[in-house]
Amino acid sequence: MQLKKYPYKNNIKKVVEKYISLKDMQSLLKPKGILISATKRVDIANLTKDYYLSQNDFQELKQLLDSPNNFKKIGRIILPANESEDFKESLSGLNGRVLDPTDNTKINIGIVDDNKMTVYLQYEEQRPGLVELLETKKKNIVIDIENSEELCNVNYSISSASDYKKVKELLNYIQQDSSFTFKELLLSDLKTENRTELFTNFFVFFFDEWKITKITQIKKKKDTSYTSEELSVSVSESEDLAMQTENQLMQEVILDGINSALLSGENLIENSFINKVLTQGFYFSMSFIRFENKNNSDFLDFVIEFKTRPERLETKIIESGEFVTDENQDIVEIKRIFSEEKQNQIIYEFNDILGEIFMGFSQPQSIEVSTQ
Amino acid sequence: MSEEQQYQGDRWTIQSKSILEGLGWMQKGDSNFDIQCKKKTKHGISENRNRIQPHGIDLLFQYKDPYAKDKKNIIVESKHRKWAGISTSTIQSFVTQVFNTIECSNISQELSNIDCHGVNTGLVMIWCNEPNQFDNEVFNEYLEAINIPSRKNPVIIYIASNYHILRWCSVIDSKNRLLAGNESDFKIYYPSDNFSGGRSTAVREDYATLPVLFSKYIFAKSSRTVVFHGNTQLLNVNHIFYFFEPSHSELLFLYSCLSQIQYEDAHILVFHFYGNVSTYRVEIEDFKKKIKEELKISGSSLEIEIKYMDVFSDIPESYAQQEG
Repeated sequence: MQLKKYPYKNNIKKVVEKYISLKDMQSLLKPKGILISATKRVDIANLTKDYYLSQNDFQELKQLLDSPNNFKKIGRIILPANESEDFKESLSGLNGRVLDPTDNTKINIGIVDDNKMTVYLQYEEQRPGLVELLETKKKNIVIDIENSEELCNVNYSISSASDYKKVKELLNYIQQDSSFTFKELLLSDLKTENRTELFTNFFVFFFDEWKITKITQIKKKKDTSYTSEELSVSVSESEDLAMQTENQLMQEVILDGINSALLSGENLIENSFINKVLTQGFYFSMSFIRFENKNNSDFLDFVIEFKTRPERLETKIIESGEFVTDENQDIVEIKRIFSEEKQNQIIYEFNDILGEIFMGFSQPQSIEVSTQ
Repeated sequence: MSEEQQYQGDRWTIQSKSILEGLGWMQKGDSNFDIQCKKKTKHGISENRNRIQPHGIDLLFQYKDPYAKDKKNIIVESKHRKWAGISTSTIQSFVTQVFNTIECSNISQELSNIDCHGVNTGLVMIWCNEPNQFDNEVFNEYLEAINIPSRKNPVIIYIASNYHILRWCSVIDSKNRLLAGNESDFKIYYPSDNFSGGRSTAVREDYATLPVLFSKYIFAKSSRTVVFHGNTQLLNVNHIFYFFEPSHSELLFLYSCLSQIQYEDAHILVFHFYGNVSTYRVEIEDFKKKIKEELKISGSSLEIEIKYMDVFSDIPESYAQQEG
């Protein structure tokens, strides 16, 4: 969301000094013809505060702030490519419309070209506050609609739990006049073993620009429809008695009462406990993945998460930066927030891959667009 | 270097000087002079070859920093190239050259002798002598790839290309037209930041500093003489020279800045737009109406004027004439 009010000079100085890396600020100013050599952020902050910049420039600057808000979190809904024109037409018809006066939900159409449309969905959220009894916060969801050959991807930004509900409300509103085959990636549409394969196939995917260097967190959940009889049958047919006993021990003693577990560590995918657990009706529902760029020193931590009720796909970047050599010749990580455009490009690419793997296992059901 | 190249290079140095003087800058010393290299090993051509030559300085300027209140000395290097001769590597070589010159200028006795103590700022004026071929987006891509050496003491080097230089010519032209008309006392305005916890007070100066010249807006103030029913009246005029796409959203953003610096405190507020902004004609008009409405509600009698700066396709010939 763009700044509406010109920032105070002193605030610009504070922001540059405290929340933007030296390198990011230098890179931001370079194409403007301003090359600054400095080793301290305070120096660059003192020099930067005197420029009068445009709203667009401040938007670039805002995206560099070291703030969790600047990491992108994306949800995705898909529909067949042949429905995309009608869908965009329906959205265009809502431009400037207040969809819900109770929370001032308003839709504005942004960039439009042949293959892309950006929609801004704004609303107000009220929450108990500290200074005021009830604080009103303006929220903004950015929805990018992009066409591929077969699909139309509706990628929406998520900054709070209510954003998903708002996107669903919008789709529900549109469905009143036209019928669209909206689909989303739900784990419940896959068999238990395919749910984990969705992750493991992604882990071994050959990415053009990135490589996975480690899996640092995995969340496992138990399939509630899984029954021990299934295990008994499969085991009795293929395993010896010792193995059967081991599985029973695992199921009855170690995993007794566990519905989900979050595991952190290195090389989790090769961990024997995790592999064993997967044979006991558990599946992956979330993973933290470290990516490193093949062509430069960039890195990022990417999270694939299937949220509960329903377990729908959400992906996000939670850390990014680059490796540099410090004065002791040690390689260290320097945190740097990638531009919004770059984050979107990465997440959309990874989501495309996840989508392809997912579709290989199952055609998902149409989503219900009720707001309940 | 051919005689023609030498001539064109010298001519561009004169033009650069004229442009900067047109922006109110004061030259120090003479044009094209040398200072001794004090870091012969560091500034050498290679590890084994120390620097032999002194550092050449095309132009040296000085102005008082309106906020820091100290004198700012600026090394200006003027470069004249065909479009094909401009690349990341050529710009990098200019930057390295100016960077080394600044390092030695900062401790130069020659410069101290002419009251220039300490130098940390450079300006490279790169003129593409095929203005029709100049591509600002490509030029900016070249700039993005420039490597800036890291130094404990901050050094800042500004790169002005055709993009900036032609805009500066338009500002000078607008100022001259205003002064040739019924306006006087034209000054660049440096807003205060007192109200946001800063310490700088508002200042008016004859010159535009580098941060101003590399900003998206330039603020200026002048007085306009009007005769009404035989009585002469002096009106306060606030100017905004605007160098960005004047979309409705950007203009409202600028207006929030004007309110912040109390820039509505005048008789007339003039927006000077640059270039062909016909695409934004409707948005500009709507913005004007919106402000007028707000001013009416607040009881202000401020008048809004919209003007368009003349756009040059080349450096005006008059800038090549050396005075004296």
